[in-house]
Amino acid sequence: MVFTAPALLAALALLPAIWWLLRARPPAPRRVVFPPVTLLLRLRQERNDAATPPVWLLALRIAAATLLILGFADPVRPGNPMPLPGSGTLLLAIDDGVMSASSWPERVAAARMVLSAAAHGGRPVILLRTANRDILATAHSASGASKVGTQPASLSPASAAHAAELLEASRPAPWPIDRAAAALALRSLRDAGTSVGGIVYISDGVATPVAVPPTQADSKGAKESAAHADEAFATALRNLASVQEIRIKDGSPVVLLPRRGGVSPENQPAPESVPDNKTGETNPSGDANVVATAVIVPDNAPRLLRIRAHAQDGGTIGLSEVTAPAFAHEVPVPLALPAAMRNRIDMLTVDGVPSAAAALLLDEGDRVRPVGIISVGVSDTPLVGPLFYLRRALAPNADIREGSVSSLLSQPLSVMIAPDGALADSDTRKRVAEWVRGGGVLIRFAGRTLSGGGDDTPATDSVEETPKAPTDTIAQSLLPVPLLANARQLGGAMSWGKPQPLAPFSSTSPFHGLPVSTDVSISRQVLARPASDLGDHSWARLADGTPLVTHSTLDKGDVILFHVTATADWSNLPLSGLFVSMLERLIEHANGVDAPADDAMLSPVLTLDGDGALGPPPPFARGLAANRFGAEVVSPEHPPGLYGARADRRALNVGDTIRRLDPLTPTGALTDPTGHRPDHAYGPTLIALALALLCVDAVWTLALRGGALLRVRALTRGRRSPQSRALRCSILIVGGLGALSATGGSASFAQSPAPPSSAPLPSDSPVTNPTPAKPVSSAPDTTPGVANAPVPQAALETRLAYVLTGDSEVDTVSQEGLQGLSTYVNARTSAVLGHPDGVRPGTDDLSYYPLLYWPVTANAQTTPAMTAALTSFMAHGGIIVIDTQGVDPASAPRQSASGDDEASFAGEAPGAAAALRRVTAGLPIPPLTKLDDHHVLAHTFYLLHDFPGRYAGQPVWVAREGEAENDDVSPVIIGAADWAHVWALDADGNAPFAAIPGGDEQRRTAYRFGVNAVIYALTGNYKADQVHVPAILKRLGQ
Amino acid sequence: MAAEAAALAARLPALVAEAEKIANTVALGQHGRRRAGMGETFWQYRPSLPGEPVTRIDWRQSARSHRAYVRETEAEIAQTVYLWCDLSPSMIWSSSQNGDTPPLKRDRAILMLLALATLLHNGGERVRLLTPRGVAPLPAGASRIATKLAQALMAEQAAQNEAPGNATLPLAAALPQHARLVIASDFLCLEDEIRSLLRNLAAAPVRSFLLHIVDPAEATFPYSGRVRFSGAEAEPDLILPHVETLQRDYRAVFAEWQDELRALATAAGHTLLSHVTDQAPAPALLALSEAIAMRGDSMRRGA
Repeated sequence: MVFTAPALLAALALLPAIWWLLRARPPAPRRVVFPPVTLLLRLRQERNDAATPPVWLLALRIAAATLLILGFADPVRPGNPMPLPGSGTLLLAIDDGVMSASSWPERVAAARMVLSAAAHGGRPVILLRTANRDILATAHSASGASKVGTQPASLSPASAAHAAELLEASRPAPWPIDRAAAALALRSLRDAGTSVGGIVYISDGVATPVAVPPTQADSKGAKESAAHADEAFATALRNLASVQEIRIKDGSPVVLLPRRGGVSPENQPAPESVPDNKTGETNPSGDANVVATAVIVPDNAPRLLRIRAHAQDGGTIGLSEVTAPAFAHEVPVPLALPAAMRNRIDMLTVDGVPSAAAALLLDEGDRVRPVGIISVGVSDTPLVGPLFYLRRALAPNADIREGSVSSLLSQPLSVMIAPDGALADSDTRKRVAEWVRGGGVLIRFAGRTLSGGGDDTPATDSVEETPKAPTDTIAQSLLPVPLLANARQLGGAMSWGKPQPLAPFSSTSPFHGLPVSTDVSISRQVLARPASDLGDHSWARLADGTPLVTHSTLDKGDVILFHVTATADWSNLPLSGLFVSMLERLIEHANGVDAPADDAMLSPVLTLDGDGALGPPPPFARGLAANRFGAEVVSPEHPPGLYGARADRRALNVGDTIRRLDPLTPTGALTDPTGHRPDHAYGPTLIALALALLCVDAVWTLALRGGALLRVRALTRGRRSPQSRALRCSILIVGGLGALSATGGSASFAQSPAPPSSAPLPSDSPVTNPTPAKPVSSAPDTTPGVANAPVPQAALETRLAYVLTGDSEVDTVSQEGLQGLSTYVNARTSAVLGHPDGVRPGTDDLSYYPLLYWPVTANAQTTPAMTAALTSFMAHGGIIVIDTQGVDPASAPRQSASGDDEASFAGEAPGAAAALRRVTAGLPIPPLTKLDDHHVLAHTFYLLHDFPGRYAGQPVWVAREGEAENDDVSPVIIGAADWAHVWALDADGNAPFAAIPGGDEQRRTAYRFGVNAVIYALTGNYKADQVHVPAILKRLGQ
Repeated sequence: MAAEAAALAARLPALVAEAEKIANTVALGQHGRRRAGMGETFWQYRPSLPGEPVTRIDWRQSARSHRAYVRETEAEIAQTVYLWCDLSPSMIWSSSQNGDTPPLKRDRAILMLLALATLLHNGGERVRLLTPRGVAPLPAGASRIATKLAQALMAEQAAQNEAPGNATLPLAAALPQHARLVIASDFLCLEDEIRSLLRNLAAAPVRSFLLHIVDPAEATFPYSGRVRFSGAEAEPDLILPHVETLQRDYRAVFAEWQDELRALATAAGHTLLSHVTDQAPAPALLALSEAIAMRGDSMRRGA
């Protein structure tokens, strides 16, 4: 034990002074108000009031003072320094690459010992870190420009203490060392004439691994260059001075590799079992559970590795113990987890080996298959919206994006799901077909549109059966099999059949092996046209053999059709767990994302540090081209980690290019650092202890005095005695200082840097991450600006509405017509209607209006937003009266031929038919029928037999009855009778337009039809029941 | 002190209500003999005697019969009970740190006095409040005696705040003869003052009932460690070490002091009752009212 500053010990002579001071100034007493204080005077004579300090207080303070004095005198226990080679400047080379991270503390301890010995000998030290960025950068610039190379600034002799500071501040790098670069640096050192007396090399014991960039065909050359680098470094060291090498025995490095085997290196490393597209069957081969391969340095004893699988939040979701046999180079790491759980693996680490090499990051594309859902108008409606069940079924296993077709096609997708009616547009179909040809998987659902032919699919009009190639048909219709026109109703009041259960899945189906639940029954489906190869296209059938899920390949992609809706109206399949499993199988079956194999630069988002912990990327990290992943050797510019935005995130791992680890041949005489220890200073420990004692003293004194502070706190927190609190406080402080002194004491100098807090594994979306594009919902916001707008008048009273066409004449007539109708309705019925409103669908909120009058002019145009708003309006129970206001002469001949010839005259509206087809293109118009006097619309208020407008005898089209949709209420009333003109009343109450052929009778009937339509819109199918009353009465009478 | 007066004002309604409640409980158990319908000052009608001045005839009553009646008022023998409440700073103290138990000694004293006043008033006695400036005029507005007294007390406390005086003990000279006096106090003053007051009262003669209000901490001395004691009034501070060892001695001293007080009171013919503030007020009130009734009876018999 040696004191560095023994003169300070003289201060021990002051200790008696402390004792004296304590006697002179006892601790102040507690103050208490006590009214009968005069009574206490009677007690006084019995006690003598000597202020003696408590013994413990005296002992405590004297001990604290002694410890302080001793601590500042700085006692040091002399160590046992290591013998160092040579004399003069010492070169300390240390491998601080990714292979040395697992035993970094031991390495630093060894280096510290060397530096301590150098300090004893007074030798200057050059510290060479072989993975240092300076070294690497210098080497690169040297090799790039001239062979001379400048000497790195860090390679200059410095004092041992300075080198120790550098060493303490350094952490292992997450990239491998570059011995070739280090050799260059050494050569430049020699060229600069720096004399080196001896060299200590703390090596990681691993030969430079042979990089296997798969693009580099000549792996032999790579091997030679790797061996050459080791050789060059050893030679450069030996040329400088005599070399002493230190190796750390324990903590041999482990490198985790992405799973190999069958997967060529260009492919992304896929931890899941690879599905076979031909048979659609997953191969549960023996190594399906293998998630990674652990590469180790061969050793003559078996080695136990515990590999831990982390989820996104850092939690462990699996643990695998593998034993590497003796002399083995690598060992596969199996991990038996269900697919859903394995999908969640974010990172694999090896227990006890904190290193970037032993951490394997998994790609985003490995796990979550991005699934796009084409959103249609009313996706969100609970329980009946087409996406309601899909979303819930997909949410656990897939990354769902929603949006319009165009927005979906602009992002990488594995699967696209189209609910009924989403692909009604042939242009859209063409674009989706292109995408499918490129390898996408399209899953369609049947529905009203598909069965009713509202979608002009070739399936319905393929009676002529043009001799097309089948793929062309598929590409055009995007249906895997041709369909029959009508849906098949199974079961119901008028049917003998019963809802059909599912048949077991055949072995060629991707659903093979899923248990068929007996409670799934299909009551309605679209039927495939019988064909000889229908069986090959069917993946799921009903018990009677009709296909339920059909598929067909289209170039690289697949088109899959569910013959039922994605809602629970045609079958209860979407309600069952089977639906979830089927979708999961289909998505697994799909190809993964097409890895962007272009040279788009992906910027680093999260990188591993030397200890294998994820963190924000260092400032010098650069982006990496997408096609370089898997081939790029980890370097300071490209540290291992996650690159790119969340959608197409790629992982760069140390193991990407490493296949084998070999021991390094020793460079110099091997030395064992055990048995030597550096000097140990006790000063910081003693001072920390003294401070702890002083804290205890302060807390106790405070408690004794019952200082106001403590008492107030004690009161606010209930009746807790200040003593117990004080005790607790003091214990806490002593504990904290104890920990402090432990860290402070182990360092041999006072300014030891704080150990870098190892950041916990961060969650996957750090703040630095650019926010991923949210799934774009193409469903337009039907309430734009409602948040701060005043309450619309339509919300306060019932109002009719008409679509503004932009033609002021038409709009005026619409306004006057609806005003006339509203007046008539108010006069005749108990309904109370306000003034009609003109609306622009897509801009105005339609949800207040029961009935929308839409005059279609020849030049009418729609926008997608308008279509979406009208779709939403119809799906929520609104009724649109579509009026072409006249008959298109182009279609007129067919009209007259169809029967009502005496019908007479109707105004001409040239181009109206085309306009009608154009504006209703994207709307979910159900199958239509001609309105007759049996329809509910003919009964809702007046009993009507014909439905004239301004022009009599024009047919009116409504939805076919008997469809289960929308309570059998037709969402559209389509006609050409020009009702607005006949209803119109001008400001004076006169009808400005004549009815043709004429008469008040026709106008009255037209008004009555209007009343019926309004009541129909307000009451729905309420009157439908009444229609059957005579039949019911008749049946009851029998 | 101004804040203290405001706090007292805030508490007074509750004190009044509680006092009346307590008084009701006690009254139901004790009295029950109220004379129905009789005015306080009316005594009887008697036939007028010959030679009596005509002005004494009560014509209204006489018109009902054939004889002339004289209205006699009750002789002024109804006793007036004077109440004294000690409002000195030592009374505004409680050993509790934050809560209401035990209450301030002053609050308890006021509660007891208000309850007693209600009780006496219901029993047909007169109640007045005695202050250092003589008998306090009761405000005319309020109907109930407790409210009146409370208002008077509030005014008195405010006056105390402005001009602190000797608020512990009353002046004997302010009282008429044969009055009865109730003193609620902690009697923390010089023993000579107490002795002279009691003597003067006895000489008047005024029967007095001393209600000694004691905080539990004053009786039990629950302190420990080294403590600097300071009084509520102008007493010098006192530092005592190891206070926990003095408890037994202190309790002996306190009991001795109480005995002295009682001896002083008894010697002058007064009654001393002790009330510790952490106990219920009703039993103490019962004891006090019994003592007043008994002494009053005996006094009336003696008179």
